[in-house]
Amino acid sequence: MTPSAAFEAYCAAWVAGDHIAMTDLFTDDGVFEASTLDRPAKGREALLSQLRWIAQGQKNIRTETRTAIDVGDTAYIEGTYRGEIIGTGGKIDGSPHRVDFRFVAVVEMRDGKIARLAEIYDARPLFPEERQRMFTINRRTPYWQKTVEAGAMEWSVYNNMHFPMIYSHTPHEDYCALLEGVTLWDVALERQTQLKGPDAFAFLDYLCCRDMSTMAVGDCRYGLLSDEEGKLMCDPVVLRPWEDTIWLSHGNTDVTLWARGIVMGTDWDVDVSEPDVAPLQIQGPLALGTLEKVCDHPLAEMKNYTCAVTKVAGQDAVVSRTGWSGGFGFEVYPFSSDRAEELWDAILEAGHEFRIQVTGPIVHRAIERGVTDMNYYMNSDMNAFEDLGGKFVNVDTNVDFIGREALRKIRDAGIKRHSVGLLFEGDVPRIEWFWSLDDGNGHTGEVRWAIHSFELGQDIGIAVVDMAIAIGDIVEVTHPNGTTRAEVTTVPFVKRGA
Amino acid sequence: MTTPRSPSATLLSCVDAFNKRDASAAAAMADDRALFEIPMLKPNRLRGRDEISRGIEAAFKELKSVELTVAKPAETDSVAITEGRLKVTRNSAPDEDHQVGIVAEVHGDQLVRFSLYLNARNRRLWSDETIL
Repeated sequence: MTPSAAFEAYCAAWVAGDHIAMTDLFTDDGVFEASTLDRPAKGREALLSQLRWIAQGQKNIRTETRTAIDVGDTAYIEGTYRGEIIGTGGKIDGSPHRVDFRFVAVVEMRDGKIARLAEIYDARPLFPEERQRMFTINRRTPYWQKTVEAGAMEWSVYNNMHFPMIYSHTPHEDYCALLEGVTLWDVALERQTQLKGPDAFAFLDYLCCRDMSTMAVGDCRYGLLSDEEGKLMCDPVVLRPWEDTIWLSHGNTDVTLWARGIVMGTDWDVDVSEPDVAPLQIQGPLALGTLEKVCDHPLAEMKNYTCAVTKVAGQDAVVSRTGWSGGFGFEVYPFSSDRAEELWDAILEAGHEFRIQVTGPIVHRAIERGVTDMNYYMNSDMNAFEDLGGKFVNVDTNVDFIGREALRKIRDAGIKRHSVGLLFEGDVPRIEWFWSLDDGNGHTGEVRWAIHSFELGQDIGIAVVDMAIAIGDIVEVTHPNGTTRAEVTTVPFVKRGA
Repeated sequence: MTTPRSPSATLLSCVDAFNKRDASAAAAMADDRALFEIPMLKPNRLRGRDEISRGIEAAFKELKSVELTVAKPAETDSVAITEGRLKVTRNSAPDEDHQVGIVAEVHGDQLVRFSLYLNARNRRLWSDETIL
């Protein structure tokens, strides 16, 4: 096979999304270089994963060769590549996010196989000219500069902090890094509401509409907070690192202000504060190999939803076996953000051998696993029974908690809505606000989450709907690009570790 | 009567002109409607001898040095392609070292297209640095 013929075969396999056929064209020690790779892929295993991560995250791919010149075992090729990125939801006008560029490729052959393939192109036009601009009304995280250097492009606002959501990789590359490798997330905006003092533990039970009384020191637990009307406020991961100290690692709600307001003027002997703790998430199957290189605690022995006080990269920290990935991973809570960038660098260096990838929260996987998030101001006035976490609520307990009486009344009157999954029959855009839904019989609901499932190969969603809408029903969802039918299903969509 | 230079010779002459930061020499090889494509420039497509000369000259003013090294080009009757490295030292920004591909297309004795392929994204990082 001539070098240019090998390249044509490589392009054909790429268009077909066949990473095995692509890899088979390489020698066992073959090297693939490309402008958008973090580093060259060398050797069969690296090629198999790298080519799959890239190629299967795109569709409608076309390649055209303008000039191909073979000189002995080497080919020099000029051509054009066109493709569309899967999983972004497309642009606001409904058009796809495209990956179109011209390239020079150099193909070096050995024994009839590709020993080196270098694709040289300008990646600059593939990305926005500038990162999103910011305003001083919100806080930067202490990892800000590191996230910028890692290619952060889009931020949300979360607990009055900038939350880096989207970096430079395609959704499929981030998804694969999470499921097969290791990812590092800046989640410093996951603020800790610290309850400290003799009454801290009892006060926690009063705040939460889930029974927290059996939490031992070193435990973590998924918590639910509601207001006095039973409306959900947030669903923090609660940590008990010390006997008299609780951290509610909470979502986008002012839990600290809420808790301080409740304590004020009462007999609760508890101090409520927001310590300078800026968490990081290290998620993915290789998180253990990464973090144990810099952590003093025996992480391999940690059970899911436990935490330990330890040191990470020489810094005092709590480490927990938790995360928002719906899979394996850890969170690191340093006691101070003074040396935040040192901590970031140390974890990145530890994960270098595992190709650690800096990402935002990988919503594609979270929704597949039924992991959601909420805050008080966008929760559709949901009560705890309407949420996926409603199963944890026990209103028949003797323990008093905020919202208990209201939730009892709601239950006794009959719960009106429930959370369900949706399997869309077509592509839907990126969701920016809730979409309405109806079943054609007057029963309605709201789609709160919508995303592409790489595992299922279709778009999926989570909605809060009338109780009359049941599993298996067909509903119609109205979104900015039109309407799309969906089948109602259960959540989670996929099993853990599938 | 002159013998038309080969595409490879034209490509290498152009590389030589870049290394000498000689915009006039590079432009002199170009056809009246020739196209130069250089990702780091703004605009990055220069059309015609005058525009090419002015555009490259302006770029060279920002540079202390240019070191463009390439492998022996492969060629057809009208196109030469090679790969190499481009190292630039800037007056007021960090040095750069790029993997490059170069395509030179000739018509008769004239260069009609010079396309420099490199990843210029690091010139537009999502940082607070100056963005050219």
